[in-house]
Amino acid sequence: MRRETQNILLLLLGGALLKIAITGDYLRYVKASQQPWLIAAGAVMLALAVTAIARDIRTAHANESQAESGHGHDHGHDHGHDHGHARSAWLLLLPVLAILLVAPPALGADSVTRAGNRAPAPPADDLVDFPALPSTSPVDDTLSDFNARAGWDRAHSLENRPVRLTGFVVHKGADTYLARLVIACCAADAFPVTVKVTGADVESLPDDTWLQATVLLVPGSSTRANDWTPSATVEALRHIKEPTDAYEY
Amino acid sequence: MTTIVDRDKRRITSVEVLCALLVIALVGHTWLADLLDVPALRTGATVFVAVCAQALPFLVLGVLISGAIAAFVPAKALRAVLPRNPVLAVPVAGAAGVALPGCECASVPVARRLMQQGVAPSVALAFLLAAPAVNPVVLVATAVAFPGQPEMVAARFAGSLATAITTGWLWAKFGKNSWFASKALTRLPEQDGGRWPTFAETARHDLVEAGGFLVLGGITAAVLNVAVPTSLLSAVGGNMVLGVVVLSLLAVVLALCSEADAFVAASLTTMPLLPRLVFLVVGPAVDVKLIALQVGTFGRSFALRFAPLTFAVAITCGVIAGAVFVGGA
Repeated sequence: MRRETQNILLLLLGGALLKIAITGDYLRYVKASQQPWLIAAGAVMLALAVTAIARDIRTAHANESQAESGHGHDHGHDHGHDHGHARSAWLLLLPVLAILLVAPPALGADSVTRAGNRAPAPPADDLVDFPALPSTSPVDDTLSDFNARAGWDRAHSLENRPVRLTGFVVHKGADTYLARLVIACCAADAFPVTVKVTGADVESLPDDTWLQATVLLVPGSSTRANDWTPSATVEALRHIKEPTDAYEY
Repeated sequence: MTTIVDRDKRRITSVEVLCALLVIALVGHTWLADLLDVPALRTGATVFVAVCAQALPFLVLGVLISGAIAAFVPAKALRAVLPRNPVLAVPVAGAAGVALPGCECASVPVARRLMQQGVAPSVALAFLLAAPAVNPVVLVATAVAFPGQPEMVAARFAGSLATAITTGWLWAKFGKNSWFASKALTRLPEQDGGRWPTFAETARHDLVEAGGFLVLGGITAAVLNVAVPTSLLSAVGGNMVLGVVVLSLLAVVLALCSEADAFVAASLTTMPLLPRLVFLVVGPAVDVKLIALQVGTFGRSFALRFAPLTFAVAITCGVIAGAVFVGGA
């Protein structure tokens, strides 16, 4: 592959990384704290490509004037050494096309059904003390915290407390779940947290419908046998747009 | 680019091919989006972009360090810092891995640059294996993922460092330089104009070359992420031997970032701790993304030997570290 093509590919890839970092689309793929890294990486790619292009143009000019003054076809020192080695660089086009043309969405119901029996783990085999819930009603909570409290909260703080959860609908077998994916670094390491929900006709909603649901925990429903998946009854629900950051951390 | 200008002018060059590909992609844009509108493919595409977006910044960091070493660190200085005898230099390089807080993608170009500056391959490889696994960021992430179980952090540190040092020693004894692709050990020609052009050109060259292979690793990881049934995990249950086998293979195919794998290991609650530790020791040492990068950086015949070697050493060290620190539980 020619140096020129490599440099164009670097420009495209750097531009694509900057684009998702600036528009916020990067939140579909990596955690929020990756943003400065993406911007820096995109900027470095652009800088390296621009520097190389500028150098090549200068070398070409120098060679031309040399050729005109009778030195013949004297090629620049940096031509030729990339020949044959960099065929792999064509693959750089794939993330560019994926980001700029396809822009895949954040992971959803398909990943939840695929993930099988991975579950958030209790810190030990014992019950744990959690900080007290705020006194508002309903209490806003993340699915991860809801699951943890439902599983191993010594004070049973969730019992008889209406809790407002945000997540999307997933059907597995005959059951319906409210789910969210948790990521540590990027979407490749995502694992689901789910709450089995009934009531308010939630069964009729299609997969990946985003909801804000006020629920009541069914006491004692989260056990080791069901991989710490609590059950809850839906008191009220509201359809919402997919949040900019679809993941929990 | 060929050396004969006149023939070159008439041939279709990669620039035209690239333009044609871009035009086709733009025209077929909606068709492409429809094609990907299958849940499994959509998930795979997201995972692919995620792996790229996660790993490319680390690769950029790696090529910048690599370029800086090429331009600003004379080979003499490196030789002065490292013990002459590889048997001693290997543990020193392993411990030096603590200082590069990044994922495995960053350490591959750096390791190659060290070799090109005259560091013994076994020493550079020990650094390559240690850097992504024993740095503070990874250890803190492990502590957060396994709260109340500091023995997991100790076991991971010991297992990974032992993997790096053992592999380095084995390579010092049995490794041959002829297994490396010739380009891996030869230096780029010095750029005229001094150090900064050398820095920029080395970094650019490394990035283009390794970037393609990183993308290849990303595709493989995305496909396997979608294709490998996780029901496999429930079949294993509490069986220790089966657990070690399945989780070490899973570490290779998932190609997780070493800062994130502890959280995945923590979520595999049906498994005993020891196989999960092996998962953490194997992952940063050998995975599909890393193998692809190594094929691109060091050549195929190197990767064919190095990947199975590290896989075996990492499992052994992981199991021993697990037995010592977390017991059979």
